[in-house]
Amino acid sequence: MRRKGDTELVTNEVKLLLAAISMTTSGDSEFHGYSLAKELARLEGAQTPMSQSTLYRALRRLEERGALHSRWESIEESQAEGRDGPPRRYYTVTAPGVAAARDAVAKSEQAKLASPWQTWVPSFEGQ
Amino acid sequence: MRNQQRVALFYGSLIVSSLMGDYDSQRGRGDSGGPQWPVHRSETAVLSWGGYLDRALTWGLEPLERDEILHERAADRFEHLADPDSSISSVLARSIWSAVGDIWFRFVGVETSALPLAIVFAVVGIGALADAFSRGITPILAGLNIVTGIGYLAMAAAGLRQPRKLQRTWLLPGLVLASIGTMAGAITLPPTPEAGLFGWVAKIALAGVGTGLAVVAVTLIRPHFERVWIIRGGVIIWGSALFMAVGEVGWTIADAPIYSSRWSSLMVAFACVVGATVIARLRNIEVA
Repeated sequence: MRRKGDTELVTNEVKLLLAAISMTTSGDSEFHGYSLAKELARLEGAQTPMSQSTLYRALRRLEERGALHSRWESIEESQAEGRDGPPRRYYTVTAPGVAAARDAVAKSEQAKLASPWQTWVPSFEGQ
Repeated sequence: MRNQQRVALFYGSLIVSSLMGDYDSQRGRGDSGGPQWPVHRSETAVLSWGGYLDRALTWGLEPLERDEILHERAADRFEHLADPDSSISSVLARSIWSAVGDIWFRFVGVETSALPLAIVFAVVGIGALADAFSRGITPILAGLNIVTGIGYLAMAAAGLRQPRKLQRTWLLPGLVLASIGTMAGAITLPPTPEAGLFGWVAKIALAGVGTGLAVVAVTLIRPHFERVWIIRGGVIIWGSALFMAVGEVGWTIADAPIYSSRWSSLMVAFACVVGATVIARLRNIEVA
């Protein structure tokens, strides 16, 4: 299901963003959907990449939020690579995307550290 | 995969491809004159069929958005097939799983279109018309069922003409007819002696559905269109359909089915729950 208040990344989006950052740090500044799904499968130890319906919806949402930027491959590029097939759509992680991933990881860590009763106590900080 | 299956897949895809005229575009070749890498026939078939599934399940999206989705997925499938770690069965399984996901997203998930609502309306319309010609029904109820059935079918047409929107020109007359037919039906429906309490449940539920339909219709007629009243009308319809479902189940448990069998009562209950769920998921539908 979709996020509650449309403000936070949902789990799949965080996973994809982290896989995208992983690819970027290992030298692939640009990646296409299938390579990202494969990277995610590798990180998670899964055998099958994420389904297309989930993958590309999540990528679209991440792009709408400014976490990713995309461009279509030109015919010249694919010819230069000696590759045939349909043109790829290449994605890059943006600075807001890295920040959003960092926030999501920090929140996840906080949630892990917080004891169950603390998560239910309302915060009075700032009052 | 057995050879016969491969051949069947291949020729099946060729037939559909030739009908749709996009065999080359599915392969991403355009006018390039055919494959440049060695592909097995079954791989070609998987590429084609995956593309057709995508086309079917992205029906009704904005043309540009749809075009991008189709191209991106075609490229993905191509990469997956070319991946030395993958097998043709994994590509096929992923395509099917993706189609299941699409169905979920588009029918009951966050990207609901008007299509599921149109299907629900069409089923209800056909059911009402079928009831009109069933034995033992009074002429008045038969006439009201026909009015209701035509109304629901018009509402179904409103969802089929513009898949992401309900078209007002079809929706409004449909709503008026269905509302009149349903409410009059609720008043006319005689609670059978054996039905007892549940007969009244059916009457109240039908009246509720009719009222909900009327609320939506009046909202559409009013010059100052207030969307919130469409949602309120939808909530009334949803609640009434669930009430009807409870009545049908109770009816079945009490062993006094109004229909020919317990199964048909339970089927009506199931249809009410499914219909109510679909309606509840359609808060984002626009009226054009």
